[in-house]
Amino acid sequence: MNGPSAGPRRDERTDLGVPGGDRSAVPTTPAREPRSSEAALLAAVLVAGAATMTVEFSAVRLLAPWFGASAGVWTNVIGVVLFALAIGYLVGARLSSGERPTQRLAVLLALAAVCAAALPALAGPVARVFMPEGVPLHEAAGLLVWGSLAATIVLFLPAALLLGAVGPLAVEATQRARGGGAGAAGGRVLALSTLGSLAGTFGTTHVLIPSLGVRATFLTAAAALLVAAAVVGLAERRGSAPRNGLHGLRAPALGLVLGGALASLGYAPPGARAGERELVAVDSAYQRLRVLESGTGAGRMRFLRVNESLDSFQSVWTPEPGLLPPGHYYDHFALPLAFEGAHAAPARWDVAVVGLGAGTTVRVLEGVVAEGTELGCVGFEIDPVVLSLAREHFELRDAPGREYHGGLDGRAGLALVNRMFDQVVLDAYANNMEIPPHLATVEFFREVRRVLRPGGWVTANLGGFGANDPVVAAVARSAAEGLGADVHLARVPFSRNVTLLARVGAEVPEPGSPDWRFAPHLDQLRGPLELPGAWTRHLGRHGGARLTDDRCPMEWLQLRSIQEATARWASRS
Amino acid sequence: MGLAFVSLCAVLGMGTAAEHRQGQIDLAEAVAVELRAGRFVEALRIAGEAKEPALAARLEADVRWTAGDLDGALAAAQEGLAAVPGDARLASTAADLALTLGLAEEARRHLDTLDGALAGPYWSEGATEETRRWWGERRAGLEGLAVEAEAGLAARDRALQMARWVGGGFVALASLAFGLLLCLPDRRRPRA
Repeated sequence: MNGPSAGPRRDERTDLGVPGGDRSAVPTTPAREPRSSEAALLAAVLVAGAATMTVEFSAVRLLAPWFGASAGVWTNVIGVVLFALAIGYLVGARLSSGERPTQRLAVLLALAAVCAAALPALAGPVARVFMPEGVPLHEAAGLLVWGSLAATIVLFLPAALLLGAVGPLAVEATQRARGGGAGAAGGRVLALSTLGSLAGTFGTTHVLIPSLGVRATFLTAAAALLVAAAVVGLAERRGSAPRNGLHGLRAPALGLVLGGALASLGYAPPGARAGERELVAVDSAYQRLRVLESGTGAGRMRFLRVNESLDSFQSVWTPEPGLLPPGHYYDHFALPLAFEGAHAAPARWDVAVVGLGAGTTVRVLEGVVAEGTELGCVGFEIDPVVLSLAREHFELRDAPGREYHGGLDGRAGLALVNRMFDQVVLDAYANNMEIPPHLATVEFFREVRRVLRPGGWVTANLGGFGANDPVVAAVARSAAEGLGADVHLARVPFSRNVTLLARVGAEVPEPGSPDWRFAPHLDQLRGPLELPGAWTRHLGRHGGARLTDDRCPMEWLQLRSIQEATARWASRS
Repeated sequence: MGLAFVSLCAVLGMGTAAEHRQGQIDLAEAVAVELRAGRFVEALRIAGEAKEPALAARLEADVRWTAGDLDGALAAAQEGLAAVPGDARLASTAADLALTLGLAEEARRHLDTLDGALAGPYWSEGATEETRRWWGERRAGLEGLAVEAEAGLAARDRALQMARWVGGGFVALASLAFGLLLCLPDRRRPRA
């Protein structure tokens, strides 16, 4: 160290760790901390680093029931946390110039613990301000972005700011404790903080949230911060003049009382709607999942809702397998069987499902395959917990020739699979409304083509406002190029979904064409598709944006989709 | 002679009206038969045979709605209303469809049209008590749904406005705080 020795009262009382006790070698830091506190400080920094990442990663999960976990929400959370940390660093820098940075550090850690403990309880009321109940999915686009930003600011800014202030205080205190230059102290603090962040990052995603859930994850972070505050407080107490018994532990004790009180308020994400019963709600590594049931007897239906869901759902179940009530796009996945069955039912029908969800596609096909047709299936679902729920609540049955892969991305899975298929079903969605970009590109459809038998079918569920919708047109164009086939678009009745159909090496029947014939038991699908405008042959490579692995602006296209639909309605009225 | 002519005209006129009405009923029934059979294209073709624009639009909207083409049904109802602005059935169908599609403002416009139509001489005076009651209940049901949809939209707009204020305010205040913390000299010095 450089500069004069500070020589405050307590410095004279303790060995400050300066070799030989030569205080002239400790010039810049007047208020020396006890050397023994260095370990406590570094431990606290480690915990604070972990807690920062836990709060950041869990923030998205905490907000997900209202705003989803889209790239926009992640961006908002990361942006706000970074900004808060930046301000926190400056606040910490100011605070560190005081006489007793270690004591301040303990107070900051305790306050951060209180904030973390309060977050689950505050999330619902705050989120509801920025995302009122009952907003339909197509009206919510602006709110998902702005609302999540505002909620993030209100909820997470204080905790992130406090945690940001930990670093400079810890550097200051460490430097005073161990002597040496600011660089040495800063390097140690940064190293431990980053190590903690690393642990927080992996631990939150892979251990805490899946095993404890979102609320308990925040409470764990809060508890860890409180312990860190207590450790720092005790270290500070040891290094200071004798005081009353609670000295150094007042802030953690107060934090425990306050945090405990706030934590006891619970966490209340959106529950079942009127007429629905919640069968199970669980947090997976990816999302919040709920199985809800409505109706009674044969009219029962179960839905898998994910995160914010709004008025959408990811999977549906009815007591009987087969076609669903009108308005469910899954029925269109049976169109290839309807066309094939009009001639002769195939002996075997192998299907790959990218975005298996809780297995609704399989259940629909199970119910419509002709007697004597063996249904083989390979399904990919990125979230393994969804598969568990599917087996438990959606009657997804294991059988010979059927493989369900949880935790495997559909594209990666298709690349690995060593089977050929008669039909590939694409029904992968992220955040209820976003088609994952890597599952919509020319390159992806080339991979799909590779696993299709000659004459094999591709059926895809696309959320969009008709055949000219920017998202629909772009995926259709990319599919046409990647598959090297004509692409057809079918409007899903009572819905704003469009089904993409294509066939490799053969023609897809069109309304009015000689092949436009349906297997008798699936003839009910025919009528609505024959209405003018219900069926469109896409204009090959000339319509829509070309989506590639290099450039796939799906979020922009989705925004345009909503804007154009709104403009269309406005101009029409 | 004069009396005979008047009587003939009356009979002919009444006969024409009755036949006309029966023709409408037959057409609507023929459409309904096709709809029940799931033959939507045929139903649409029959609907197109209606001579009156209002009836043609009503039937087309019905066919498209039954087939699940909600946008197309609303467009048919809107076109019908453009041709026959005061048609109560079309206005009510359009309002219902708009509410189903979540278009609250659109629904309100059609409800206003419906109000105007129901205030007209036929519905307010010429119709039977039962018909008037039916329309009253229908109107009230649509109004309830419209109010709910409008409240949802208003809540969304308020939330969006508030979120923008919070977002903008945060950026402004945080930037200010950042600048101050960064630039202002630190007056507090550790005790030497």
